Amino acid sequence: MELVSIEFRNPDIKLVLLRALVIQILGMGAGLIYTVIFIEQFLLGNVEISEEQDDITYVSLDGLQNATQSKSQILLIDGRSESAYHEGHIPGAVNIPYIQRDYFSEQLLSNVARETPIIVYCSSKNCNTSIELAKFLSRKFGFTQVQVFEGGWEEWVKGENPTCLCITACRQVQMGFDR
Amino acid sequence: MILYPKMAWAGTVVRVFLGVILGWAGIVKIRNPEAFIEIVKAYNLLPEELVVLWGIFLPYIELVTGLFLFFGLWHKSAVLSSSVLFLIFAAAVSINILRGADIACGCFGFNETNLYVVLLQDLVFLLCCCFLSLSESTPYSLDNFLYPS
Repeated sequence: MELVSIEFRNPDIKLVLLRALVIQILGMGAGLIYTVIFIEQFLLGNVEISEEQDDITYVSLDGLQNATQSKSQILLIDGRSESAYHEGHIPGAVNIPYIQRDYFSEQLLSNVARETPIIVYCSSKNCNTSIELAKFLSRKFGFTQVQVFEGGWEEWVKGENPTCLCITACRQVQMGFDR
Repeated sequence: MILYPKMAWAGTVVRVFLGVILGWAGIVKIRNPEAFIEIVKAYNLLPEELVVLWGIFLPYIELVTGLFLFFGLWHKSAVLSSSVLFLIFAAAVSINILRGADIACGCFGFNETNLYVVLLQDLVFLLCCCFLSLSESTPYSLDNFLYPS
């Protein structure tokens, strides 16, 4: 088999590093130019910052406790992974893992009234999947009352609130979702 | 360095592939900077002031690096630059896997949350960079036009 000889030009490491730095600086320069142009256009009034609202509000621990204890119909959604949900979740919560949100939402929420109040949570304040899931439910399914419990599972457990395993209270079963 | 002819062509394919991936990732973030800044915040690795700067500048660095790779200009430097980016991404994702955080990745359209998949992607891209670093340049690159040897 014919071989091709590619000769190394004995690259000057300093030159390679310098050029890599130039690439990074060019990138930052582009970002800076764009930002300056944006600010200039904004100050001139040519750009309006979109105030797109997803109707997402936040609920505190107290608010969530009241909601779960009252008989008002709310839909509590656990956005964590299936395994995390099975290890323990807030009583009455249904599991819609963010990564499989399309499939689970279709299965679980297609017949739910769009005005139903929804509260979404994930693992803790450090996760953003509850917010992303809330936006998804609001945008794709048109739910009008989506709230996020920012503290998530961590804050719920810290507050020594009741928890349960999937076996004891799976709303999926109540909703006829058989997996 | 001796490479089979097909390997030289593979270099071009990998270079263009990485260029498109980086450019695309940059454009997606540039089009939705607010969402990307939110995701950077969720990674919980940078102080508040740096989050915004990182969120603004990173997409452009990705885009520019992607363009250099795509056109094959300053081959070694572009490969080095992209390797650094993928290393940073892999480190950030690994830290959050260890923390057990469930966050949206912020890579291409903000959908992926399986951080193991994201880490695997980054490692594959890093391997591509290693492969590219084996050669000085690849066929059909601007380097061959501008710096013929």
